[in-house]
Order: sequence, then C-alpha cells, then structure tokens
Amino acid sequence: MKHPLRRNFLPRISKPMATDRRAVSRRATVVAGLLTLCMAGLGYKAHAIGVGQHDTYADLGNRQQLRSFKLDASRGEILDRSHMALAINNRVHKVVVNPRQVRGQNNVEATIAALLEFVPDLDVEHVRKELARDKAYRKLRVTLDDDQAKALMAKKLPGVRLEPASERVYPRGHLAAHILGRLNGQGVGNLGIEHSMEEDLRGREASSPATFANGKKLLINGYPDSGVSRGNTVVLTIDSAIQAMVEKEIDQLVSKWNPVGASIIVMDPKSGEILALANRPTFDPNHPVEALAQTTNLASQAAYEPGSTMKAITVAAALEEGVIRENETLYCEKGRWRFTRRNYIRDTHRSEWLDISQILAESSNICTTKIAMRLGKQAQYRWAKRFHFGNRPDVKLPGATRGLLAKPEKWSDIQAANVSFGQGMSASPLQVTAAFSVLANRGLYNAPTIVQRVFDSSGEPVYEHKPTGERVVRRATAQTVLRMLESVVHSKHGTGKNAAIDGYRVAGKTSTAQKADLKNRGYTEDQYYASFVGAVPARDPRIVILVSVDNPEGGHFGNEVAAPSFRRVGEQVLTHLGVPPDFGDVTPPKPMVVKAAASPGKPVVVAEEEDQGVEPLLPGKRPKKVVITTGVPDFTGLTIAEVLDTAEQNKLDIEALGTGLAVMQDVAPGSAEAGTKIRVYFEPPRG
Amino acid sequence: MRSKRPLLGRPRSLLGRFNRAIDWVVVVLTAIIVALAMINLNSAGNGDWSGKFMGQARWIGLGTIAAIVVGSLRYTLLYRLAYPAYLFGLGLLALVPVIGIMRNEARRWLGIGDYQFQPSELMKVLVILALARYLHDLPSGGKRTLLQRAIPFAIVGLPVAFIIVQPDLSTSIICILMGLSLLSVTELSGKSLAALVSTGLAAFVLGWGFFMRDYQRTRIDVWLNPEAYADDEGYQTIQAMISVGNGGFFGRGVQNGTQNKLGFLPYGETDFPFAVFSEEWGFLGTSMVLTIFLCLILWSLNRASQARERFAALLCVGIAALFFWHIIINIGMVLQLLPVTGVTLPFFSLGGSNALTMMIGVGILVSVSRARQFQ
Repeated sequence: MKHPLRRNFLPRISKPMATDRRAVSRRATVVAGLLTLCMAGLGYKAHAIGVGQHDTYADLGNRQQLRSFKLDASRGEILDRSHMALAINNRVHKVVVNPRQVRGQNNVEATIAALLEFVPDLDVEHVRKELARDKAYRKLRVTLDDDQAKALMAKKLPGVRLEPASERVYPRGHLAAHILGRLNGQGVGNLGIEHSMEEDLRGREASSPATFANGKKLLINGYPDSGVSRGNTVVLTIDSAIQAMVEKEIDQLVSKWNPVGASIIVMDPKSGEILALANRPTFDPNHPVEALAQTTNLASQAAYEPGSTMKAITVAAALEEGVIRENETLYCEKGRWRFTRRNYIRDTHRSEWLDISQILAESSNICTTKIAMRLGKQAQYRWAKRFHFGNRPDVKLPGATRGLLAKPEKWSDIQAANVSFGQGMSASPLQVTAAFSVLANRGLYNAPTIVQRVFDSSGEPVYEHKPTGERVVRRATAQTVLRMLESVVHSKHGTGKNAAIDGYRVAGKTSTAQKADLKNRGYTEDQYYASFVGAVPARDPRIVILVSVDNPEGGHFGNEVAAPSFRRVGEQVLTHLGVPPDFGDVTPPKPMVVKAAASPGKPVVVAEEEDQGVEPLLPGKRPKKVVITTGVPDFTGLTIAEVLDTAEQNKLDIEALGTGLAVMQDVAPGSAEAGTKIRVYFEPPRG
Repeated sequence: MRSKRPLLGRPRSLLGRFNRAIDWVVVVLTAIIVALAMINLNSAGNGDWSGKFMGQARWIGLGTIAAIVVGSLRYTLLYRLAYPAYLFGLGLLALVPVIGIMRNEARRWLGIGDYQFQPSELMKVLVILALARYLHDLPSGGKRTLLQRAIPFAIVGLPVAFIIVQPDLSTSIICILMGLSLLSVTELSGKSLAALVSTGLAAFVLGWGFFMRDYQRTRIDVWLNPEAYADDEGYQTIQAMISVGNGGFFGRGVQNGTQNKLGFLPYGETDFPFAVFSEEWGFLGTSMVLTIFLCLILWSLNRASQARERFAALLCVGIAALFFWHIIINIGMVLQLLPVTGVTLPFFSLGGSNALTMMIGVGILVSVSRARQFQ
C-alpha cells in the first residue's frame, strides 16, 4: 500500500523508551508528581500574595495610585479695625520653563530677552542657571501680572508656560510694616502678625484626591476636600488713619533728630488696644528687606531703660502703700545729693522743697529716690512687677521682650535708687505704654492687644478680644497720679511743656535716660534715650501715646525731642476720634488724600492739606460728608482698599475722606472721564 | 454482541479519521491558553485590540499554520529532519552576530521583510529534536564511550555558546535546563544528576565571586531584598507583587487593573504578563491558568509514557520541559520566588518568535499523538 520511496524516506524507528514499561510509567509518575508539586508551589505563593496579603498590597498600590494633590488655600487677609485691607492676596502668574525644550531649540537667549522685556530687574543669573538644568520643569522666581502674562504668551516661546500663583500684597506699603510682618520665600509668615497668626491666616490647604498614573500625570480630577477653606481674616486693633498719622510724624521726627531708632505707640488705655505702632528704621513688606535691623519691631522687641517715666510708677506705688501723702513735701537737696560715699544723685533743677506733683513736674531724681527708700526694695520690686515690668506682654507680636528687672535681693542701694527713676532696669516701649495706661485707665491693667478679632472664611467669629481689666492700683490713686502728671505739661516748671495740646489737658511724663555704656559699665555722657508718654484728655483719657527716640542728634531731653511729636500726633488723633476738647476751639480735620501710585498694587498714602469744600465741623463729630471729585465706578459700600483696587484698574486718582466704607462719591457712577480725581466719602460701618 | 468493526479500529469516514487523528486535549488546552493570553495581551497593551496586539495575533496565526504543518507530519519525518534542521538553526544563529539587528543593547534578531525573528527561540525546539534523535540512536544499555557522553552536551552547548554572547542569558538557561531534562529521563542516573546539579551550584558560587557582572550580582541582591532597591532595580519586582496582591481572589476585572493601566507595572507585555493577568483575573484566574498549563505538561508526559519509541517519548518530554521551565521561571519571577530574568511566559509574553516556537512545540505534540493511532 505504501509507496516504496516513502517507506525509504520515512525510516522505521522502532526503539522502546525502556525495556521495562513499568519502570517508565513509575518514572513518569515521579516526574509528574514533581512537576505538579512545583506548579502547586506557584499556586500557593500566588494565593499567599493575592488573597493572603491582598490588603497589604492593595494598600501599597493605592498609596502610589491615589494621591492628594495640594490646592493652596488662599491666605487670610489682615484688616485694620475698620476692615480696611492691610494685607491681601493678588492673583499673579509665575513663569514656568522646560529647560530641556528651551535648550533643545537653542532659545535660551531669546527667552531671557523676552523676560527682560517684562521684568527689567530680572535676575538673569537665576534664569540662566535654571535653564541650564537637565529638567523638564522649573518654576522661575519671575512674577507677572495679567497683562504681562498675556503679552508673554502671545510671543509663543517654546518651553515657556505660566502658572497661576498667589502673591501677598501689602497695599499700604510700609504702613504698619512691623505689625504686619511679611512672608518668607515659602509663603509662610516670618515676621509680625503674619508670623504670630500663621495658624489662622494659613487656612486649610485643599487636599484633593486624584488617581495618578506613573509619572505623576493626573488622570482623574478629584473633588476638592470639603474641609478646604481659606485662611481666617485677622482684624487688627490698628486704625489705619491713626497709623498713617503716626508714620508721617515719625518720619518728621527721624528727619529732624536722626536717631538710631524711634517708636511711636498709640494705645487705647480702656482696652489695651494698640491703635497705631510705628518704628524707624522700617521696611516695605512688598519688597525684599535690605538689612535685618529694618525688621526689628523696636517698640516691642527692644528694651530700653525707661527713665523718668518710672517716677510716676514709683509715686503711684508709694501712694498705694501709704508711705507718702498727696500733699507732702520732700527736700530735694538743691539738686545734688551724696547718696553713698561715691555716688551722687543729681537733678536738673536745683530745688529745695517740692510737693509730690512738683517732684514729678520737675522730674527730681533725688526726691524720687527718697520716696523709693520709704518703699523699700521688696515693695519697689513688687510694684514694678504689678505694673508688668519684667513680664513678657501677652501680645501677638513675635519676639516681644520682657525687659530686665533684677531680683531685689541683688539690688545695691544705688540700683534701688536707679530703678525708682527708671535706670538699672529695662523695658520695651510697649511695656511702658501698657504700664502708663494703668494710670490712665483708673488703675486697671490691660495687656497690650494687637488682634481685635478673627473670623473664618464664612464670617463666623473665631476669636474676639475682650479686655480683662486687672486691678493694679486703686482708682483714686491712679487719678491722683494722673492729676499730678498734668503738672508735667501744664505747670510753670513742668519738664514736658512741649506736649501741650490745644484745647486738651495732657497728663504725661518726659524721660531722658542716659544710655548704658556697655564697654565701661556705666552710663555714656552723650547718648540718650528720650521719650514722652502721655494720656489725653487727662480727666478721662481716650488715648495713651508714647514717643521714644533712641540716641537723637542735636538734643536729648524728652521735652525737646519727643514731646512735640506727642503733641502733633495727639492733636490729629483726638480730632480723628472726635474727642470733645476740654476747652477752646478745634481746627477742622484734614481730609486724607490717597493717590493711586504709579506702581500697580502699591498705593501710597499721602496726607495732604485739602481745605476746599471742607465744612467746619462741630467738635466731637466725625466728618460725615466732605465734597470731593469722583470717577466712573460705583464705590459705594467698598472699603478703601477695594476702592483703591478699583480705581487703580480704572487709572483714577482717589481722594478719600473718612474711614470705613464708602458711602458717597462726588461724581455719579459712569459719568466721569478717566484720569480725573474722584472724591469718595467713607464712614465707619455701623453696629 | 461483537461488532463487525474492532473497537479501536480505524474510523472509516474522513471526519472520523480526522477526529481520531487530532489530539483534542492538546488542541483545546492550547486554544484556551492562547485565548486568555490574547485577552491579557490586549489589557497589557493599549486595550483597543490593535497595535502590538495585532502584531502578536499575526504571529499566532503564523504559529498555528506551522503547528498544523508540523502536526500533520509523521514524527518519523521529524526524526529524519532533526539534524539538518539543527544545523540550519545553528547557521541562522551564526548569522546573527553578522547581520543581526541590535535592540536594547542585544543582537538577537534577524530581519525577514517586516518581520523580525529570533533564531535562538527556534533553536529551543531544534535542540529538543537533535538531542532526542541522538539519545534515540544511542544503543540501549552498555557502557558509554566518552564521545557518547560528550555529544549530548555539545548539542546543547554549541547553540548556547552562540546565544550567550548575544547576550541572552534566559534563553541559554532554558536550553540548558531542557537538555538536562532530556538527559535525566534517559542517560543520567539520579546520582549523576545530583552530581551535575551540585557542580552547577558550585560553579554558580564561583561565578558569583569571579565572573558575574555587577548587574547580574545586583539582580540576585534585588531578588532577595527588593524593598531596598524599590526605586530602581527592585521597582519591577515590587510593582509585580503589588499587582498580584491587588488582584485578590476575584481580580479587578479585565482592563481594570490599575497597576497596569496607570503605568506602574513595567514590562507588563513582555516579562510580567502574569502580573497583569493576576491583577485582572485574581487568584481565580491564576489558579486556572496554572492548572491548564499543568494539564498540558502532564498530558505531554502521559503521551511520552505511552509512546512506543524513545524518539517520540523524548520529543514529548522535551516539549513538556520547554513549557515547564518557561512557566516556572517566569511565574516564579513574578511571585518573587526567583530573580528577575527575561524568560517569557508561553503565549502570554509579547514576542513573535517565542509564540511561533511554542506553536511548533504544540505541533510536535500533535504529531506524536497522531502517530499513536497508526500503531
């Protein structure tokens, strides 16, 4: 049947596997068993991983696949007490580059040139360095506004993109810079309120779950975490108007006396709220700081020997302890008293017999020492402590110092004498202001306060400051000392006559402290710390103002250097607050002119005389309407900061009167031409 | 009552004869595996039944034709072709260093038109053929001369030498293991097998100290402690484990494996298709695939034990070994039982030459099974 050729071609190969077929099947069984075992081993392991450790591995998988990506919560705003913005966020664009792509297309120089066009002060080195990296994504430290961003995108540069970012803007420039502080490069506050209220301001970062592919490519957008919220709004006790007055005054002070440092504090003694606080040197938080010293908040961080201001405290303590009587007279040794064998105490006035108010008025060191000796060291120390000297003030200003107050056991007799008139110890201007406020607040101490209220993104209050009056001295004692302090300003021999404010009685105390000589363990002959602290109106003080000048040139007495500033600030603040005068006439308030500055987002506050159209006001009334010119948009209901923003966009100059919310504008909305000056009237919100 | 026809007589009708001739167990098992593998390959790829999937489908088609051709041949013809085919394969291998195509720093491919072909893959089957024939031709019983002992090693060693310089360590290992498998069922006693294995182990230890390249040493390190290398060398091992673990019992569903679809699992098409499969089909699927593979291997061994002739038996053993070692090494690697190598999983791994080779192996099984009918 079979073809022979085929038979030949296909050989018969007959050879059994083995002669013993049972041996073959036995061996086959063994081999099959082994193979089955191996496969079963694989199955066992697959089961152990897939079912046994499913949770562990599923978790590992989820951890790399499901990630939350961060949405920056918008930082809370900082407002002043009438809700005007002091620190806000600006939407900006950050330039992002793909260095590989830029280099690949030989476009490095073109890119830098294009950026230079928009940012003239571009850090070329930085850009060059980033473009040289072997990366596909680098965020440059280059920030553009909307118009610039649009123009840059129109250039269609390869490998250059923009990312939205948020930039902290302080619309009032250096106004209250030390209070507000600033952010560091990572957007975290590192100075002032930005630092101390970081937890509140930061808000909750949005964490939005999303599925990520390998390589971090976002596949599915998640829904933002419902707990996401912008930062809380912090309302300060600062009154921008008063702050502006203080800033202006302190600039004058600095230009006149060229001191090493200067501070002015305006405080409401009834609540301990700081209405204004300014220091020199200062900085603009919108720009990089040149020297670290600029950022020191001298008012709270620097400790000075307070000088004669302490005499008021010593007298108050002595009255309280009953060691002196109000109408007692003491012998003042004709201005030179050999206290110990080697130490003399001197007065500037060579007086003989003085009563207590004259002691304060003439600022007699000798008689104050005599009063202190009656108190004794322990009582002196105890009373200094009760006035919160040597304690860190409970204020939301980072780095507030507690000053220096040694234990009385360590005091020598001369140091006890020194402490009685404010040498041999130290305190920050803020501590002195708070201590003086005790006398101005009928013997009740209120811790200095900078944060008035905090409310969350939905407007619910989170925190509200409530003054907790702490009884330090009796009401009668406080009023007595305050009345005595009036003689400092208003008596014939008073050392603080320059502080007198027209129409008001002022109770205050000058201080001219010699600065400690760190090298020679004594006091320098030519370096002084001059200050004036006062309360006005003296019979029911509404404000306490402290002016301190560190090492002025060409003068050193508190009366000469600090008191005039006190007077000028006091005048303006009293008018601004509408405090009825004790006597005489009041000059009408000066309207404030706010100009939209040339540089976007950073308007500058300039106080200017503006008599036209201003009606004289009755004393004690706030200006309700003032006539000014207006512009296109409807400003009604906006805060000054918002008005400024709007005006800036419309290239309008704004003249703002009053504080609070806009209630009127002198040109109806939609009618004025661009470029005109618009007057807007503000009123504080009611209720 | 006695039938006119004998019980095991040759069926008369063409369809009946065809039905008898085909080893349906092999065909059905292979078909199921190929179907699952193709579904999995689509998952591991871009998931739209195109691109690499279509390329692989063409190769499977080509392989099926090859399997039909080989399966329809009498294995006696395979016997006759064994040596010429082996020499042809060696020739192709020798061509690779000369005109081969370089890919991923290895020269393994020959270009034929648009197709690229790995002679080393085909060589796996040809080594089985040649070795089976040589072992068949050896006189049964009696003392072996040194030459008779040396030639089997030469048959395996020659192609391995070509392959290992490509370099392609995994294919070399497979060839050696297959050779050892064939020898262990014929020539090698248990004792000498043990001696060989221990010599191999000693050589490995020596090689570890002196000859292994750094990357190969790290690989073993990585295998023992993948977490320490989680970001680079150990990355794939850990991702594979996560995939298997992620699958759980029922799996995440076809095309729903997140590890694979989100691009965390590397080499899901080539080296780690089993991880993709595990994630999508769960333990249910993996145990099923393991069982089917085991059935195919055991069926192949069964055919070997039934074979009347040594050549046929050795062919079946060789094909069983081919499948077995691929499966053990690849899946062992996915389950972190073995270090990471490039050994493929039959049909599951993307690779035309490999699919073709496996199909030819299946064809050989069919051919041997068919011959049983004419005994």
